Amino acid sequence: MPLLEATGIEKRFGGVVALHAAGFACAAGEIHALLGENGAGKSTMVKVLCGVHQPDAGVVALRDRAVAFRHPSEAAAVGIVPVFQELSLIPDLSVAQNLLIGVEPRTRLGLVDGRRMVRQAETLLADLGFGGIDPRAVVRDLPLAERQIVEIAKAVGREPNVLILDEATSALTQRQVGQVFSVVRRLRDEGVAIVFISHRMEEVRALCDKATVFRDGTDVGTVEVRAASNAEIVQMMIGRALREVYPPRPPLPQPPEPLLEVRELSLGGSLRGISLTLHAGEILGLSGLEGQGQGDLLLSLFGVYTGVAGQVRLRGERISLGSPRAAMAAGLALVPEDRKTQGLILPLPVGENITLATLDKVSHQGIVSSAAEARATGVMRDQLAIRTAGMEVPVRFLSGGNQQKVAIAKWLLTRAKVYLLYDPTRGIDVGAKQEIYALMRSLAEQGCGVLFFSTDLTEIVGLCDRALVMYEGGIARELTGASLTEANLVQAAVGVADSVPDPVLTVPVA
Amino acid sequence: MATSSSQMASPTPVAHSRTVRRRPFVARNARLLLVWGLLAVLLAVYVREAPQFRPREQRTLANSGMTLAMAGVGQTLVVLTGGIDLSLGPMVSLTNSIASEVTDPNAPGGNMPLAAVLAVLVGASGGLINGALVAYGRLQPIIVTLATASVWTGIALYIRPDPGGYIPPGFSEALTGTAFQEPAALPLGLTWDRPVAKSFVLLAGLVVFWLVFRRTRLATRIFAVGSSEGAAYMSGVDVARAKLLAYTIAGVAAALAGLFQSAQTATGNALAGNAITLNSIAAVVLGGASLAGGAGSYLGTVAGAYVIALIPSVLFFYDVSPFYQQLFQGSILLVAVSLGALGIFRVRNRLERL
Repeated sequence: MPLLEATGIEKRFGGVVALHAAGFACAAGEIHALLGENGAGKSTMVKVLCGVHQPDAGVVALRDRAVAFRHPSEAAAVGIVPVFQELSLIPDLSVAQNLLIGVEPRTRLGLVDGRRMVRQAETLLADLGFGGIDPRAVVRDLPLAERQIVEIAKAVGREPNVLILDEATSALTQRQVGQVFSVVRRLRDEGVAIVFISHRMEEVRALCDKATVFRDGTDVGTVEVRAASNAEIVQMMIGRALREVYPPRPPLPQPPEPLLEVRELSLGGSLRGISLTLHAGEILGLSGLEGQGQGDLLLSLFGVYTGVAGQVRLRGERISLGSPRAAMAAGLALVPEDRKTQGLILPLPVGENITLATLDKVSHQGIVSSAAEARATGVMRDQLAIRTAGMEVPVRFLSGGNQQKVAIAKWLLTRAKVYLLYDPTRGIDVGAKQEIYALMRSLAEQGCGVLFFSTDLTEIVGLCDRALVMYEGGIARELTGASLTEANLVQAAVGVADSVPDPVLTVPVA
Repeated sequence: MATSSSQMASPTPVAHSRTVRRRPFVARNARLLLVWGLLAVLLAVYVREAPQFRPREQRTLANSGMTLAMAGVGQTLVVLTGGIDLSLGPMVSLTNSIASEVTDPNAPGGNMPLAAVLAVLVGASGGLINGALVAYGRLQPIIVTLATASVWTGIALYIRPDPGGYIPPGFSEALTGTAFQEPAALPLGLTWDRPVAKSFVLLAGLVVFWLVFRRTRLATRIFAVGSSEGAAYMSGVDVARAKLLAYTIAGVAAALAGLFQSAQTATGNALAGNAITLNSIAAVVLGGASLAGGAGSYLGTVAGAYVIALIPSVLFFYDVSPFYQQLFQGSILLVAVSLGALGIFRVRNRLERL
């Protein structure tokens, strides 16, 4: 009898179906992996299990009894405790306060007993093998790995029946992972049901008994991890038909002209020695599971971070990574991850959003010329087929796809040479996606370079001339031509190196 | 023999081989040390430059910052949740007006006990209204309290259109006078023979209140909500309740400040407390709290309050025209806040620095 069982779970966000008829079961004393591509539904499932999301339909059962949680604390009350990648620690409180929030030891007067709290926290950490962390340290001052450990300790300290680890070990060193695993195994032996999500296939192999594979919001099969090969699991994870919506790929101009050259780019713990070359006329895909440094790479190139090491050349000239202004001046454009907060100014009209990055081109002596603005925005509207009732309409009233076109139009006007695109088609409809694909290809044909991060593998396979797969802040694999397949992308993304990786800095595509 | 020596050789598990330590005391308390240092300098100048420092001067000094120090309890709690309370000053005025109106020279005790209870109830209700609108109405604190500030002022003007009214002299003496004018016996056979301004006794009470409050679960929740509302929610904290209580306590603190102001001025005035609003925010910021919430301490606010109260006196001793007071006060605030903002340069993502 499973301890925890989810059946027929449905969950929609707006028009997007995140989970459809999804389910799995985990027995007491079992470590159960959830596997799948980005957006396959693993994280949504986990959030349904622990009360962050409420399912639209379907049943979650604990010990064969249906449960419904309105709030994470209700799930915690019956022993379902999650550890998320996005941390749930409170930065300004101490480690001990975080570990024991809500269950603080108290004195007879009802006050929090600080000394006993520190002792309890100390015991808990030492018990997990992390006695090196001072319980009185403030979480804000902790390195990322130690924060993750505190997060895990917080969950374990609640003595859960069901422990959910969602990418909970992503920032840990191998030794720390080993220690966490021995704790997890001990909990399993004590009869806890453990749900484990990781992007590292080797971790799943080392730790898990069973694995359920998710694809497109539904579970497509459960396997005994020991009995299944990597190839089988990868095959279950992919298997979507490649839709014929991508523009044809013309051959690159010969000889290939290097446009953007990145050498040994590093940023704290999140980027490790990235080297790549983007050629004129090329769409270069950035792939891999989410959070492997793709976003940080784009933001670093656009000058958003300080403390970036390495060199970047544009057409052979070294460029500064000092600020977005400097990046713009050098000829870079970034369409950022979150169009609602970073890409657009929602209350401003469509027209003003389009000209925001090129105000000097449509103004004379500081006064914006409405005629010049109308001309520029008119061209963009026609070129991108932006559907809006008018240029004076606030951009927030546009559909997602048209908003994204506005965010891109802003950068087209700067006549940038290199376009950095951060998942530009996420959450927009198929028609608008196709238009954006065609636009990217036409930019490439005009001799620009496009560095394109997408969480959708089919896009990478269908659209890009070449793709780099990132893994834990580095480039794990380069795929071109016939080797640019979904299976190879997934394999590299989960850290499985079945074939010898190509050298990272390769000759341009033939 | 061999066994015992090997037992000797194996040390007990090293519990204190820390790899991740908490920051050293000075680093953890840099902002507090800064504001207390500033206060110490101002106090030293005050005592040196004042023609004399008798119990009377001590009393003046203590009373000068007391209203602000009391209201500062409230502003600190609200700012810790990540909010702001612009209605604190008008609440001081309102409770002062109510007190001066309810009192009666012919009633026993001048009716002051009734006035005090009423003031505290009004303060609590006002704070509760702010808190409910912010926590459950999901309105922005700055707008909610800007609006209620006007409402409180309107009610205060209705109750007391012109300054005046009655405050029993005994009440004034009880809060703003000097204690220990005669040597007094303390427990354990000790005696105390130096006069102490009663405001300082009240101040000690506020500090003790904070030190105790800091150890309640509510305090942890208030810090948690201000530090990261999402993480607090995910940790099972009732976010709305924590905010509601913070604003309610702030209302009560403002009412107590209004009562102190009544004692100090011995009159009622529907507008006299209004400067408290911005000064209390300045005191909180001088005291090292982050307006973003989650970090700060009343121990800083209280020093900030007295820094603000002392600046006019110190400038007066140096014959600086009162016209420049605002200039100096603002400059000190700017310098203190700039020093406190230096930590921002540790942040790597320029977007997060904005």
